[in-house]
This record gives sequence, structure tokens and C-alpha cells, in this order.
Amino acid sequence: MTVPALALEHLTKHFGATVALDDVSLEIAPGEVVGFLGPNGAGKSTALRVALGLLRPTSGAVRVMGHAAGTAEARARLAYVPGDVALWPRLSGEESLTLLEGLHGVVDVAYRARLIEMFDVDVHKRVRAYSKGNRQKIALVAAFASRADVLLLDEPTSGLDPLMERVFRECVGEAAARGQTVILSSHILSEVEHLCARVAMIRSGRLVRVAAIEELREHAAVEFDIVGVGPEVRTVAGVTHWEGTRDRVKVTVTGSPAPLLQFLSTQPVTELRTREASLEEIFLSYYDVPETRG
Amino acid sequence: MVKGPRSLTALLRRQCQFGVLVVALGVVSAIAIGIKSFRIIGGAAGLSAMKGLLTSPAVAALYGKPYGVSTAGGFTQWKMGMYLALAVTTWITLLATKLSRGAEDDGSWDLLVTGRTTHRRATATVAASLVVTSALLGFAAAACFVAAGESVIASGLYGATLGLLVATFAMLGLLSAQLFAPRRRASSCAAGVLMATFVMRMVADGVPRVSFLRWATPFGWFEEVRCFDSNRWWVLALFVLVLVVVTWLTVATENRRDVGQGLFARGDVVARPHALVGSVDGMIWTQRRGLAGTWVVVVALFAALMGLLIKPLVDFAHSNPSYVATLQHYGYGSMVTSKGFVGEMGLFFSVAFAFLAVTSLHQLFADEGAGRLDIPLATGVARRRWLDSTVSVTTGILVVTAALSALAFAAGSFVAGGDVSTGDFFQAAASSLVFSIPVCGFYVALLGWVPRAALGVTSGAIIVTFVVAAFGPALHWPEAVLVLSPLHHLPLVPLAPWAPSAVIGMLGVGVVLGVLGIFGYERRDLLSA
Repeated sequence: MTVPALALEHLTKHFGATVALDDVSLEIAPGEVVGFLGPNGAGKSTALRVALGLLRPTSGAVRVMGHAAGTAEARARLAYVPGDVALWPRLSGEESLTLLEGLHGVVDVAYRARLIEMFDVDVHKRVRAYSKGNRQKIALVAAFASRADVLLLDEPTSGLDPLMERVFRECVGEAAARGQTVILSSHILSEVEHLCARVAMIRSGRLVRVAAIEELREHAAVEFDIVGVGPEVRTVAGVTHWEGTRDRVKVTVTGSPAPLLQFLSTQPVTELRTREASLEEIFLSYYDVPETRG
Repeated sequence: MVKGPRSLTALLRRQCQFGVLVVALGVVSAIAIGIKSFRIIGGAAGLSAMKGLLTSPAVAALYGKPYGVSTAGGFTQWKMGMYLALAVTTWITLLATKLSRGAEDDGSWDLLVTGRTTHRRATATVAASLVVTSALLGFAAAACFVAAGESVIASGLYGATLGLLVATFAMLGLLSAQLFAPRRRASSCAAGVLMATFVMRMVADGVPRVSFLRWATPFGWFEEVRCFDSNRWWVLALFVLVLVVVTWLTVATENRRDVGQGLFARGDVVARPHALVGSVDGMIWTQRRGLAGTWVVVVALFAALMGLLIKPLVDFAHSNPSYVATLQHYGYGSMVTSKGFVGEMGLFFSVAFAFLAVTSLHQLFADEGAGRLDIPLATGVARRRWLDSTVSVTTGILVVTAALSALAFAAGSFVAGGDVSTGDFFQAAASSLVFSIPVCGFYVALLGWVPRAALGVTSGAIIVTFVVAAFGPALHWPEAVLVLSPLHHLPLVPLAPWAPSAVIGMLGVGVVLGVLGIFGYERRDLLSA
């Protein structure tokens, strides 16, 4: 049986009276690229910081490639990029990389040089002279060059421009191709949609859904733009929303489209367009409703 | 609607109020101790035994010129005033750079100064807060003297002088924050000027040929106001003049620089990386070398000055039997010998080394709080390794500082013709290091369990320990109180031999507390930025 790259086992974390994580269980297989989604304060960063050994769980456990979080074995297999990278301001970018690589113990020197070029960062400048994006580039270079088994990336592109975001996607693609595991927490849903095969959604400290993006799409609403039918379409099973005129409507179907297609076969349809829901729409469908906690 | 400057004022009040309260209590306590000391020695009559001492240039270099010492106010001003002023001005200078440059460094002013409040108004609000704080401290000092029965006019003059001195250095700190970035550089420059002016005052008071230098330093003016003596109000005009000039320079500089930058920018390009940053120990050392250098210079200067004073003070004691009797009465009889003087000075070095240790250890907390340890500790080394290295590097810094201070002490003594051997100075320095062991353990224990309280509580404990050891015997405090201070248990090396039991006891306490701290540090959540 394959050891999961990252396993959260009934993970609970309290900060005083605040429940940041509530019995979260999740397994990520080696080589997977998984998106970690959730609104601000949902518990994404807390889960990652527990996995990194920076926070101690109230109960439950985290394992990295089979090793308990926070142990030397777990650290050796991890690379991390926080959303707001803090480095020593007096060190240069090169010194920061030397420090991080020296502490981690492994670096692919040739790849590091390539990454510095790809991310277009002047490593001779002191960190205090860097913008947020440049600090993030240094952390990304250190993380990718470490060739670590598991990359935990917590909103790693929030300070990058679109060009650098493309470079980032390329690097994640290369890491995945090498069999590295990537956990990407991001609010840029197009990025997650592009890079990740699976997403885990968290809300108020609870995992609300873990699924492949394709699977989410299968169960997500599909929008139909139809010419040749009237308002009577709203009575068809599965139609959850409609708008339009006497002979042109836009309907949203949740679940199987079979009843709608059967209905349309009896109508004088002259034009039919469909559009799949984006990850953003799927995401909103999970979060745009009031929370019900049992 | 809350207006920008008003909300900034509220924010500043929240940032400062605890510190102001502690410093005000410190001012009041120091004055109360001074007045109590005056009464214990028998007031003006009891001073007759110290008459020669009061005119000694060496003593003047240490404490300042004695004006009006036949009154409780004048005596307190002389005995406590100079170091009280040094402590308070150092605090306000660092506070000024923290509130202004520190806020710019961490970006907290970025939102502020793009709203209703301009950068200039924000700076002006900080300046006003600092001036009000200075005035409050001056008022507290004056009120304390009045409550002790001193003249209202002289007390008021003292309060005004102290307030203006503190305000002067507050504005100097604010000016430094306009000139230099980041905060560490601004603080270093301002603190450097402060120390230079203090040393200038010492030289002016200690060397009659250059006594005119007293007029070149605010600490000299602080003396020259001669509160509780001739009450020279006109000297305050010098403070006001400098305050106006420094304020004008601050405004002019603020106008010519970008937010987040100092007027004098330093190169941000590093051609060749530092060789040591690739290892934990090397990294921790490179982050503390500036701190270590500054402390070595300050402590060594102080040691050299003390070395110069040994012979004149001992010679003076030998020629004044009544002075010797007074010292013996108040528990300082050992100061009449050279080795005894070195041993007594060990108290000050112990406290200096302890603060150096805390400052060095506290850098770890600062790094953790800023989030700088997140990546290293998540993907590199264990927390314990980082903490162990911090303690090791701190120990190294302490040992080197102690050794260099012993050398400087010996050099000063040699120049003045003293008879204490270099080996004795090294023994004394080593003895002074012992106090740092429980202090380090105490800090680490707090870091492990209540990290946010570590600096304040440890610093407070050091101060209380020092006050008990330094003033307790003179004030005839009960033995049960004196034994609470670890410093009370340290013998006066080199006059007395080492006390193995004290060393072992402090080592034991330090190790136990340290282990407790490491235990907590490994188990708690890291602070996040």
C-alpha cells in the first residue's frame, strides 16, 4: 500500500475558544497536485501550518510521507512557500537562498540557477529592497530547487504578476511530472483549476468536499442557452433557474440533463449552446449559502 | 466619524501607555530611594563625611557635579539623577524610532498615510505624543519632590529640566527616523549620539581642563540648571533652542524623503554573500554581530572609565577615615580597597551582561513573531536546534564581551597607576557572568511558555534584582528581602574568593529553567506574523 504524501488524521485545532480545525481528515497521494480552497479564515493556513509542524494539533495527527509532522524526517521532505514571505531584511536574496538551502540540506544547483533566471529576480539585492512579489520569488526558488517530496504552497502567487504566474504554473507542472506532491492553497481559482486534479474545500474548519475537479463538474449546474422554446421549460425536472423571452431562454440545470434533452426533442429548437460551470461557480455554490452546522 | 489624527493618537496611546506607566514608576521609585538615602545618612549633617568625595573629579565624572546636595532634592538629583536621565532618555529615544521608523518598516503606516492622515501629520502626532510623554515624566518627578517636602519652585524646575531633556532626545530619535532606515539603523544612530553626549558630560565633569564641554551636551545643561541650588531657569533656553532646531530639521527632512525610506539610503546590493549564513550558528551570529559590537564598545568604555577611577577613589578613602566609616556603615566598606572596588563594580557588569544576554536571546522572539522562522523551522532545522544555537551564540558573545571589558578595566587601572592584576580583572568579569546564567534560564522558560511576556518580565526581574542588591544594604532592608536577589549571593571577586555554592546554585537554577523553557518551546505553537 502506498504511503500518502500527506495525511491529516482527524485533525482538530483550537485557539482558545475558537475552533480553527474540526476533525479534518484528508489523504493526498504522492504525485498529486491538490487545491486547497476556502474563504478567508476557513482554516486552510492553519491546516498547512500544523502539517509543517509550526502549530501543534489539539487532537489528531498529520503525517508527511508517513512521518509525524514536525519531525526531522517530515521536515526533510517538505518545502513551503507562505503567502507573505518573511525573510531577514539585511540578507540578500542569494544569502537567503543559501540559508534556506543550507538548513534544508538538499538543493538542485543547476535547477536553482534556471529558476532564478525564469523568475527574473536579482538575488544580489537585500531583502529589505524587495517587493512582496520578489520575496515570494525567493521562497519559490528555494522551494522548487529543494526538490522536496511535498510542496506546501499557501497562496504562493498572491504577489506575482501574470507573467510570473505563468512561470509558476510551469514549475508546478515540472514538479508534478517529477512525481512531487503539490498542495496549493489559493484564491486564484483559475490557477487551481488549471493545475490541480483534485480539490479539498474547507469551511469554518471543516472539510466540506474533496473531489476531482471533473467530478465536481459532473454534479455541478450546467447552463443552457436555447432558442425556440418558451417559459414552459421551467417546469422540466432539474431546471433550477431560468430567464428569457417568449422563444429564447437561459436555463440552469442541476444533476442529469436527460429530462431537459427529452423535453427539447419535442420542441422546435433552432439553437442550443451549453456552458459548464467554472470552478469559481462551483466554489461559490458551496460557500454562497448560509452555513448549517449539525 | 473618527478623524485620522485622533485615531492615530488613540493608537499611540495604546502602544505607549504601559511603557510610560512603568517608566514613570521607575522615575518615582528612583527619586523616592534617593530621598530615603539622604534621610538615612543623616541629611545635610551626614554629608560632612563625604565632603571630599563630593569634590572629587572622578566622582563628578560618574554622578555629575554636586549642586545643592545639602537638600534632599539636590542630593537625590546628584545621586540618582544622571543615571535616571540616561535610562529615561535611552528609553524615549528608542520609543521614538519604534513609533515612527518601526511603523514605516512594518508597513503599518502605509494605509494610515494614504487616508485622511498625511505622513507629515502622522509624524507630528508622534512628536506631540512624545513631548506629552516627556512632560508627564517631568511632572511625575516634580510631584515626587514636592510630596517629599522640597521647594515647589526647585521641584518644578527639576521636572521641567528632566521633561525638556527627555523631549530633546525624543525629537532626536524622531529626526534619526527621518534620516535613516531601517529602524535598527535609526535607533543605533540616535542611541550613539545619546551615548556620545553622555560620555562628553563625563569627560567634562572628570577633567577640569575641558569642563567647558559641559555646555556642549544636554546632559551638561541638565547639571547646569543647578536645581535645588541656584535654580538657573535660563539654561532651559538651551533645551528649547535645540528642540526648535531638531524639530525644524525633522520637518525639513520629512518633507524630502519617501515614506518607508530614510533621507540617507544605504546600498541594497550585496556583491558577495556572507560565508556564514548557510549554517544555523553562522546565521544566528551574523544577525547579532552588530549588537555584540555595540555592547562591547559601550561596556568596555564604561570598564575603562571605572579602571581610571580606582586609584583616585581608593587614595581618597585612605585620606578620609570618616568617609571610610560612612561606607562601612552602609555596607560598602569593601570599596576602600582596589580589589573591593572592582568587586563592587561587578554588580553593574552583572546587570549589563544580563541585559546583553536578554537582548540577544530576544532576537529569536522577534524573528519568530515576524514569521522569519517559518520556512527554516518548517523545512530545515528543529526548533530546539535554533534555540540551542541562540543560547550558544549568546554565551559566546557574553564571554567575549566580559573578556574585553576585563581588558579595558585593567587598561584603565594600569593607566591610572592601580595595583590590581589583570588576572583579578578577568576573575571579576567571570564572576559577573554567573548572574547571566539564571537570567538566560528565566528568559528561555518564559519564551517557552509565555513568549510575549518574556522580555518585559525578565527585564523587570533584572531591575528589581539590581535595586535590591544595590540599595538594599544601604537602606537596611531585611535579610529575607536581600537573599531574594541572586546578585546578593555573589561574592566580591577578586576581593573575596569565588563561592562555588552560589555558582552551582545559579547554574542549577539556570539549567532547570532552561530545560523547562526548551520543553515548552518544542511543544507550543509558533507565533505567526
